[in-house]
Amino acid sequence: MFEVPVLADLNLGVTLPSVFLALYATVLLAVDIFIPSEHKIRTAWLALAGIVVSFVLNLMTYNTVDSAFFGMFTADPFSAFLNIISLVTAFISILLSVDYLKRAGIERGEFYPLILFTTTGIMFMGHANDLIVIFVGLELLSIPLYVMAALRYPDLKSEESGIKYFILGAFASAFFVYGSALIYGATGTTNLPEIFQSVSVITATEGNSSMMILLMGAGLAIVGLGFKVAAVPFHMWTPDVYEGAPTPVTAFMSVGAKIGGFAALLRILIVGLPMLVILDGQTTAAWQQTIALIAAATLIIGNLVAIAQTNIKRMLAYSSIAHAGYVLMAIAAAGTLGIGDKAAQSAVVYLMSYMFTNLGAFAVALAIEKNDGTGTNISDFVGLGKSKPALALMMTVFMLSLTGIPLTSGFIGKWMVFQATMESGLVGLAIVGVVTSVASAFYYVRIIVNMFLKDGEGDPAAGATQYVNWAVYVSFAGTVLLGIFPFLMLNLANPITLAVIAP
Amino acid sequence: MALLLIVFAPAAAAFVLTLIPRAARLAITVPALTFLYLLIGAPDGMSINIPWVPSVGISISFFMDGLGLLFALLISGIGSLVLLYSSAYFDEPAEYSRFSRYTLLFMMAMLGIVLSANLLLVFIFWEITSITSYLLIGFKHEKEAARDGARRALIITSAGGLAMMAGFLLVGIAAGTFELPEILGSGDVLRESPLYLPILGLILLGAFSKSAQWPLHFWLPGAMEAPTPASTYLHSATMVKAGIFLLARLGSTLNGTDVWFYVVTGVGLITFLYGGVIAMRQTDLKAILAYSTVSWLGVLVALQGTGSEYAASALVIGILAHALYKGSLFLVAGSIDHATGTREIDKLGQLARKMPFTFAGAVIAGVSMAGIPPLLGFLAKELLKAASLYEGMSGILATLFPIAAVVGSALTAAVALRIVWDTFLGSKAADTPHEAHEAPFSMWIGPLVLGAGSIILPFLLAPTLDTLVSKAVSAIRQETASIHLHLFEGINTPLIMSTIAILAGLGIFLIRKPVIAWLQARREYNPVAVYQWLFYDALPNGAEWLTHRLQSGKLRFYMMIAIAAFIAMTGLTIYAGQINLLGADVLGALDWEIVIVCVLLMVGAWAGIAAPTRLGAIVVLGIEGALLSLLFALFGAPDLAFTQLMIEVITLVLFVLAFHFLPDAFTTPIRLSARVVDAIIAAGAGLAVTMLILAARSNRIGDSISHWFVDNSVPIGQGHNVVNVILVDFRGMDTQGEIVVLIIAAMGVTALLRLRPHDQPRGKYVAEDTNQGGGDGGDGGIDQQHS
Repeated sequence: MFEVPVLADLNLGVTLPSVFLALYATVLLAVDIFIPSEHKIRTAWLALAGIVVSFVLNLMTYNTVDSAFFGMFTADPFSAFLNIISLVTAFISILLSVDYLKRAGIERGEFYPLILFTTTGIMFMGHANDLIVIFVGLELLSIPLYVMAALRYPDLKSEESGIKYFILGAFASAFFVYGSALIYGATGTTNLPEIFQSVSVITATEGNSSMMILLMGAGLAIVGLGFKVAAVPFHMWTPDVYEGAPTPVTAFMSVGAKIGGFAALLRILIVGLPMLVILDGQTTAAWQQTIALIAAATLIIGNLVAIAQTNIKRMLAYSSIAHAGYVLMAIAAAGTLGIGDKAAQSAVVYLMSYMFTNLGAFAVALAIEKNDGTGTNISDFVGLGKSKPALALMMTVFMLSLTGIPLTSGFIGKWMVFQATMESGLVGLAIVGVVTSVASAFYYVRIIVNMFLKDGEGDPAAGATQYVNWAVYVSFAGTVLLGIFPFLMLNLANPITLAVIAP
Repeated sequence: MALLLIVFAPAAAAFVLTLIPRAARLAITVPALTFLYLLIGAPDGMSINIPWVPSVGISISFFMDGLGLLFALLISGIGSLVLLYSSAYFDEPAEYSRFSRYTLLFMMAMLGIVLSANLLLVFIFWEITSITSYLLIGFKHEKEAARDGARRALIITSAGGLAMMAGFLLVGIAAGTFELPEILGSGDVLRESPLYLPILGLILLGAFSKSAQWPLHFWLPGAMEAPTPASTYLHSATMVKAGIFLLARLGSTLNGTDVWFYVVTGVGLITFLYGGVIAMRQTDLKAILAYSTVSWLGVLVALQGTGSEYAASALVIGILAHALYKGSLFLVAGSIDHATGTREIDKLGQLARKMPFTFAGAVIAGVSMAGIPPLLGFLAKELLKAASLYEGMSGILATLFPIAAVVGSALTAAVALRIVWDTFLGSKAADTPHEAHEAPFSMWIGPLVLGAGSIILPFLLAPTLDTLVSKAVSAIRQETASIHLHLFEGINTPLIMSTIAILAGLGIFLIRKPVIAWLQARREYNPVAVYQWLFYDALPNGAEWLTHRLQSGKLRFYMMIAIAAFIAMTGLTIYAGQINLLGADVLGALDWEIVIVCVLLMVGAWAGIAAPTRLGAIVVLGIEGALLSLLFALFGAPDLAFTQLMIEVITLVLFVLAFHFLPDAFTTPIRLSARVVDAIIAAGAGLAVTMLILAARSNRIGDSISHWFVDNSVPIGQGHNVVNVILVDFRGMDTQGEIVVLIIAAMGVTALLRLRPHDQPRGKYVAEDTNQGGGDGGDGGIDQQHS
């Protein structure tokens, strides 16, 4: 009665970029034992090499559309695009970590495999075609992050960061699993395309009682992933965790965890539940209003509260909350029939531009941080324009890009998202998005004002070591190049199709 | 190509100046040639379009229509004079070179604004003008006032620019394009868009902040710290007119609604009168000029309220006339400052004989400003009055507009007379730091050339001005216009109004001393305070308050919010879906034993809440677990019950071990109100979960699979213990995996235990650093319950 699977049936070739990274990380963990503690930089180099190999593998299979593990795992341009973002994030984060960990006295070899594990988790979430795989990816993404957040042991803030992240993260996972169980209960499957089929049957049947279970399931899954992407009101942990975690970890999770969460949200909502409508024949999914509401709240709270911050890490935490709001706008837009693919494209383009810019901003913040973890106040930027003009100039570009000024990648991302939102008919949400993004200038420009327009001794930016500088250069190049030549990423995003059926 | 050259030639020149600073004197050729080319050689309808991001609809495109031509002429023409003037104004060659560089960059940005055919380009150039103007205002950066003024101007105008960009984005969304020619040809698309009001509000914010409209005008007087040539160029002739330009550019697609009419005309008229009154009470020559500029900018805005042809012609002539006479007066003020060392009008007087050429320039400009025939200023005022009588207006503004036009013109006339009379003539001699002397040629030629323009242009209406005005009006109104202006149209209402205004102005001038004294005694309503309050007080403090409300740092609060969201979501879905909670016989299987256990569970839950010590609470929790196991056993799942019991025991032991190091009693007092909230949320969570379970049970789909295991345990698994068969047979691989996980975990734990540093006492963890700040706004936002 059971067919024993043959290895070839698993179609492992498709999974190469992510599975390679997972195996590589496992091996690296073992290899690291034999690397003497004063040469842990070798582990970092090996980790970087692994990322590069995975990156190349990913590019080679970019246009493949295929599935593996009996349809649980899928490879398509969407996952390949997200893989690029996650791998670059990991790459830059490792560059940031090398000297920082040494300075902070927390250099440990297992840090780098942990980053690779999390990256694999993120990639799995992009590849997931099944709720189970999403959950596995979610845990693989989260657990190493809990550890890394608390890495600055025995610094109390870092420990607090780890434990808070862990408890709320576990909470979020529970929500997600509960939601998945309810979706399974309603549809009888965890496979996303099959869920899609089942949902259309359910919606077509008048008074089908599975509908409400499905709605609850979708709601709980959104809550669970809302934690991961730090959407209001599930964002509470973000500033505390970001502040306490070692800065490279903060940089990594501010981008990485979000990529994973959004990948899963997009997959579930666009592949599995695009037709989840309460009444047959409606053209907007039932979850659209929920997501739109969360997005609006996220935009308003994130941008407003960021103004009050005096610590750069907390400010960037709220800013990352706000940016999650913009991606959520795109997801809300996907709830309108026929907008799904466009919304998904705008979301991933937004994520890519956000990735470069945000990592760059964190890199500069890290450069002026002192060895003991102080020096992270916004006032510490005063005079940086004089002491480190090049660094300050690049920080200016990052801040402008986060605001969304033309000629930076941030503008392209925002513009794509706004356009998708308008096309889906969410006028009010689009207005909220535009107005809040202008209001965000208030706190981003304050950094620029501090660096150039205020008199004071500039920080020597002792943390701007060669590795950190390279991280800044890469981020800067990404921000500016994608801002001036956006077709570089738009062409990659164009083939993305998530919607199972064309409208 | 020509357009690209026009826009970017100044930037190229600025670049050359960086390399060869001594070439500054040659810089003037760039704007001068541009001016000449535009005046005689430029063909109609030039445009260029280089696609940039076609998928997003962004391109590098420029076009020239009548409106662009008008502004480009002003920018290049006055730019040439300003560069010429500053060659003598600056004593240091290095300063002159630096000034020329900034000015050329600014010129490029201004030309970019008026010639761009893409809204995003407009925005980029707009922000470049803000930045270059910051550099020019802060030119004397060793002066603190200059730095402050520069910063304020930068913040206000670039913030306005951002608002404008938001507006542009919405325009792009509504019209589907950023290309201006397409937007201008889109008819009522914007007016009928649901985004109309936000678009209007944001774009007006940008325009009003740049053009110093009340109540956003306050940066302009502060910007007077700039060197006078810069003030002439930026804050009178060109940059402050960028907002006017923007309104004129987009007016044809946005105007015609009540909101537009009331806001634009209303704000414009308030600014007109306000600026005129405040100008009277100033004593610094440049401050007087600054406020009178604010005043006239108000007129130029108010004129755009109706969108009529009269108003459009009045606008064009108004822009031209003002650029000529106000530019001239600024240059004169600079010469006086340069020659005497002061700009205080009270200390000046009887300069006419010592500075004859400058005086001549000032007189022409003053007469034009006062609106005395036959100069261009007179024509501008005539057209203003004609436009104020436009019949298409309704409501209270239709009555107020003509009155405001007369009153405002009278104030303008009085200010003009005051400037000319009290500095150059008057009864008292100058009392200045330096002995006054005539300015060098390059400084007095500017005012005279501009003055010549004011005199000659009214007499060249038919051949030159009519064409230009017609083109510009056509561009503004987006329909072909053929304008024929006349200096005198006979005795009509506008002429009578102008006469009254001039006479009234003369009257105010004659009694100026008591008027000024009275005005100076009044307290000025100062929007700077509001700006300070808003941006330095209300917004940060509000945000901080919000932070403290939301971000207490307490984990339990965060979880409370998350649980509350869960309750809301469950409740709303069940309510909205009218979901059937008591479908199938959910209560059918209740036996008395089960009821007893359930009641005990509830009692236990209450005891757990009420327990005064941690240990007590833990013990009660353990009892709850045991009861739960009993429940499982009663439902016929002894294996599950056993597992549950084991887990309970282990958890209990771990709990006790962990809490051994904490104080036994709950020490943190919790307020009653907080406890009530906690109770509500806890009860809600329980209720939500119960409802979920009921919903799931009542709406069961598919059949239970347990029968399959029972039926197949013997035939396939060869075993009578179903649970055993499931574990080792049907789900053998799972069990295998679990065993592996357990072994790995055990190995990990062993490794961790062996890692414990030898010098650390067993079982004790000593926190090294217990005083920690952090949290939002710098004070403790972190749960400080470590002990």
